[in-house]
Amino acid sequence: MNVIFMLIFFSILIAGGFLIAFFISVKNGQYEDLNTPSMRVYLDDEPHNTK
Amino acid sequence: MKNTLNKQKTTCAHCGEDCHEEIVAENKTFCCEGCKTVYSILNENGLCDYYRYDTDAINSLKNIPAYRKERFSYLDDTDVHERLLDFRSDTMNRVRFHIPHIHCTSCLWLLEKLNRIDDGIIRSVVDFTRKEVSVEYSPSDTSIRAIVELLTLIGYEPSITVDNNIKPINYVKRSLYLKLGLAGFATGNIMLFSMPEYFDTTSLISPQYSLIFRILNIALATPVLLYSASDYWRNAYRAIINKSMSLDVPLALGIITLYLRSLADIITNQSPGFMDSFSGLVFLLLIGKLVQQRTFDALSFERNYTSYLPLSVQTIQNGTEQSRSVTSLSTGDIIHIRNKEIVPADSMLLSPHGHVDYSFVTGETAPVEIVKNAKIYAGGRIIGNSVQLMVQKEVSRSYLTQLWNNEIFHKEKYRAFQNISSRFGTWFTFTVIIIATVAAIYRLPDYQVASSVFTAVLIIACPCALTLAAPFALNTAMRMMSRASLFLKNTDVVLDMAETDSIVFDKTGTLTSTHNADVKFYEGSLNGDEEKLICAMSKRSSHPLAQAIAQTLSVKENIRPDDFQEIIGEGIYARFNDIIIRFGTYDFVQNTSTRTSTIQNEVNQSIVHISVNGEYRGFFAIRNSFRSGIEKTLQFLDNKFNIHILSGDSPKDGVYLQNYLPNSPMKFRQTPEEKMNYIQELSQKHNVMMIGDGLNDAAALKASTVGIAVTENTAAFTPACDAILSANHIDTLPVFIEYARFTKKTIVIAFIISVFYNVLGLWFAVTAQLTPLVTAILMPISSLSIVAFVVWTLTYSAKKRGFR
Repeated sequence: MNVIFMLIFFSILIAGGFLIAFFISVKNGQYEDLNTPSMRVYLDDEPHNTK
Repeated sequence: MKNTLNKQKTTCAHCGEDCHEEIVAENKTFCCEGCKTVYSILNENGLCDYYRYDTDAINSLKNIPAYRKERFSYLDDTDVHERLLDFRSDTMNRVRFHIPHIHCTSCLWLLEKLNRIDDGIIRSVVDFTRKEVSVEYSPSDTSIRAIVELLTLIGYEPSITVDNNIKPINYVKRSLYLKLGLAGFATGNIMLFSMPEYFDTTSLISPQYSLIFRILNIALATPVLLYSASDYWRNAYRAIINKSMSLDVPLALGIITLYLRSLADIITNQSPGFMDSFSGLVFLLLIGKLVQQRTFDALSFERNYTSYLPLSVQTIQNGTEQSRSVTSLSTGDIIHIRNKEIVPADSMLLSPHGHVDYSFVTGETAPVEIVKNAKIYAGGRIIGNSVQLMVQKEVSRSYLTQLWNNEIFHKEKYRAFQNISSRFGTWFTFTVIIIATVAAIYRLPDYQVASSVFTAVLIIACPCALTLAAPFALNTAMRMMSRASLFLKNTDVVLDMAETDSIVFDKTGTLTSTHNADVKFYEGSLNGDEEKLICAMSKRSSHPLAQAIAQTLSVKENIRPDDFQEIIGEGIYARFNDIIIRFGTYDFVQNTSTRTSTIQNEVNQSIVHISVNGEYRGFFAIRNSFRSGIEKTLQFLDNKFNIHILSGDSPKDGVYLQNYLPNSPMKFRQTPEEKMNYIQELSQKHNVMMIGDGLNDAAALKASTVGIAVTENTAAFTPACDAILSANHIDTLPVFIEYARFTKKTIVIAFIISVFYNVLGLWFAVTAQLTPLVTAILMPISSLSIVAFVVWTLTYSAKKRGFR
């Protein structure tokens, strides 16, 4: 049964990691302009270097 | 012809080179000239960026005429820098520009590659929705002026106005997301840790685990209390200080009781506590808050005159042109305004003649012709030839800008919702406290039961469902209305709309349409071929009258003239083989026969004369017509509301309107101030909805309960207002108001249902049966079912009303 302690510990650790990741993404402003990044996906990185 | 003659040689907006006749000929119907059209074709095929990033084109653009360069000399001014810069340091400055031309993915592509063209630019990031680009550059390598010139060069001239046109960022606050994230995290985990408690505790888990779970729950719930719910403490505190009980007070009371009771229960080992309900409640409330903050980023509801005026203007001093900041203009200065530029201050025309488009001011798109010594008001846009003006009043003292000094612009609007919420909140808080006290007293000898009943009542009566119902309902209503092209400033406007009992129309522009102008041909006749040719040539002109004629004749065929000249302010000349057609002013048409016109030039009517091969054929009379469906709408509204007409125009069209609105007060030749005073007086007794369009209505829009700006194009300039309505949906107005009322009714029903839930919960509470399990089930179910109810009802009814 003691394995439960470990599992709880890890589950909190992992969930906490996601929470931190979420906080970082918010602080980076990823939740602000929700439209433009979706358009950037369509842009090729270097469309004109093919000679 | 004189030297004013403009041979129709189009310079390409993107590559700067003179376009070949073919490109111009085939694509004249597009708003922007030259390769803009080629570009749109490429765009359709997904080849847009290929064209755009053609380095040859950009190189050829380096040779811009000197005067264009001078235009931006004011950007070297340090005062201007202060205004424009978002952020500054020794190594990096950041500046944001509003660029109206941003409209597709390749704009984005090109604008984010600015650092390849100018090495001084570190990074440029586009916000597509707001049509803004934020440029980070190193101040030692480049300057704002160089960046603006570069942007102009590649066809993206930023609009730099007195307030820099940059709206303060009203993104949802980052902290709300953080609070929501934390609450969600805690809720999920606490729910899992609480789950075993709800089953048979002894057989499933040993007491030591149960203790660990409870400690973890406290550890997770405490940050939620301190951080996620902090707004509620602040609001409740403020409400108590101001002695106005909003719903925030019972809410805060419920949250804190829930937490403290759980804490006490866990410490005394009575029950596993309500921590899951507690964090779930905060989580749901925060979602409601997020939903309430919805706004339309692409639209601006806060524009005032400073958003229209350019930051600088070309002045002429001792024969040389200089660029100066508009705020420094003083009486007697001579300014030079070019095609499509805006007059910053009330001035007098020094050039022989010019055309002004007052559409920002009045909403009327047809340009007005003015002659030497005529007065031009600030806000007018010069069309055609550039003109020289003498400033007569400083910017801040101009006719239009003076309006903004009125106190009406510094007052917060009364909001119906806050009123309802606070009245209901007071009633609710006291009822809950009374019930809790009575129930506790009833159990009194037993202190333990009494205190548990008291707290249980406060917990269960927490108006969570109630608080969620309104934001979700209003948000849904707002979203649905936007599908039918009515964009509200915020969710509160829905309820204000529901309260409307009087509607005031500004006639010009709002009721009339410039798109389907009434064009009639008088005097002589034209045969089919001539009509085709006239249509073909009028398509080539950007003049609104020519556009109206082209639209009426609407010939699909595209005939290219062998010769085409547009003399601004006079007319158009075109030759097709051996047929020469002229149209425009009477003098320009140059017929030899005497004029036989019987119709006087009326106020709302413009005349275009036509001659074919020198022979006078007659004239087109162009009149603004009422928007389609407006008569029916007016009659319908007239039965239910007090309708008023306030117009800056002459009373001529009043006769027509009188047929539809026999009992409505109508006022004509109103100044912006008179309009505002009228509305102010009316709003003493009524909830007024003002429908206007131009800047001249801005004060009236602000004075009304709900100010709706009507616009042909939602991307265009609109004055400060509460809502923006697309002009071709103005006939849906009664439906919008009715829907707003329906929304209000739905909220009331949702309130009743949630009170029912509360009563049910109270029964558990006063009979001391409120276990953590009951709370954990009842709370989310009541909240979610109410949210589902309002969202579904409003979505369904919006579909039924045809909002899509």
